[in-house]
Amino acid sequence: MTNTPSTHLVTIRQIAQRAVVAAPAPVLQPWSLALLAAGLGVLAYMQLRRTRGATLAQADSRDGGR
Amino acid sequence: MLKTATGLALFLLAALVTFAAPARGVVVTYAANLSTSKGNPVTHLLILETDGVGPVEAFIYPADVPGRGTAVISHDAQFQPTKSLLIGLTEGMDADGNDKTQLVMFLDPAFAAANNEIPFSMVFPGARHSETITRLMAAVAGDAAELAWFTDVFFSGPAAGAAFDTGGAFVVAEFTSLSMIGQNATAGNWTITGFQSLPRNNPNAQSGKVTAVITETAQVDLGPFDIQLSVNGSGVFAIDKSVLNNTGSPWSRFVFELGTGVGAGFVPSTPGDGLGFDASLNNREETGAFPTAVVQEDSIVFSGLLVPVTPRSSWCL
Repeated sequence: MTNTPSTHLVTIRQIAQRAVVAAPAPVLQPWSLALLAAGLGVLAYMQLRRTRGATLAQADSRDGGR
Repeated sequence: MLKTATGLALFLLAALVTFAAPARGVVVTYAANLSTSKGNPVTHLLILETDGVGPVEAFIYPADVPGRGTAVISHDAQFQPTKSLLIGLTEGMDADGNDKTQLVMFLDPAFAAANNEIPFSMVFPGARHSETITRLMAAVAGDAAELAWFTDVFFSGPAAGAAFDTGGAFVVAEFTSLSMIGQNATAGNWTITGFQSLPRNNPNAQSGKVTAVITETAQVDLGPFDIQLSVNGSGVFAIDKSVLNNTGSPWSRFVFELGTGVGAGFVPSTPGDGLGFDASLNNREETGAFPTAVVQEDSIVFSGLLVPVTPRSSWCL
């Protein structure tokens, strides 16, 4: 552009920034999932032992009655 | 607030940023800084556009374009053009200083550079300066045959290679012999949808200063989007800016930077160069979406959160 002596060209640059929306925290973290799985495993094991104990006691009782 | 190169004049920048629902249709805009040989307006403006698939379409611009300063030419189109060529008239003077009706054209920059100072009839073989003026006046007056000459003959014939990439850089040239009198005022994927200069005594002027009222649509990307303003003389001026956020995402920051040039030619202003914002003025965003403004000499950073469901926001700097 041919500017007149009193003319200035001024540039305004504009830049927007997208808002970063934080993702919601997961209900269970990985470590808590592992702990939950271990706890369930222990409970299952104990339940199994209790069931097997009761079965053996019933067998002993039947044997003792003969 | 901007300061002139002399450091004597100060420029107030006031920005109004608005976010609203996306508009429908294709709005094609050409923003230019130009200075015709005698400062007279550009009249009889014909916009020729093509998408490279369909035929060249013509649009007769219904208004004159100011002969000096920043001008925004905008119109609705039925398709998204990829190539554009604008042609109009101005009462100017030729290379010899004689008063003459001159052709004004918006051209591809490389084409203009390759034909600088070359007479019109040599730049556009097969077309003559005086005849083209006659044809243009007739076409704008409603002569369909002359309009068809521009779309069907001139665009792809004598003016082959002269059209510029729509949305890209262009040069404004004045003929009899090609003289560059202006260029594109913006760079980036946003669109200027309106431009108006208010005198200082206008009730809507910011801080009682000459105010440029600019409306923009931010689309495709987050910027940068550059707008180059032609500032007359020294003194304080303001900008009242509205931006339509059509990016589909909320914004957390909006940055203004000062400099010269646009696009790849943008040169940031440096401290002490006489160009800067004035932190002492009321630089602000008006809707509350961006309540924090950090004003430095050559930049202002607004921060906050603008969510799409709250589409309006405004800044005053």
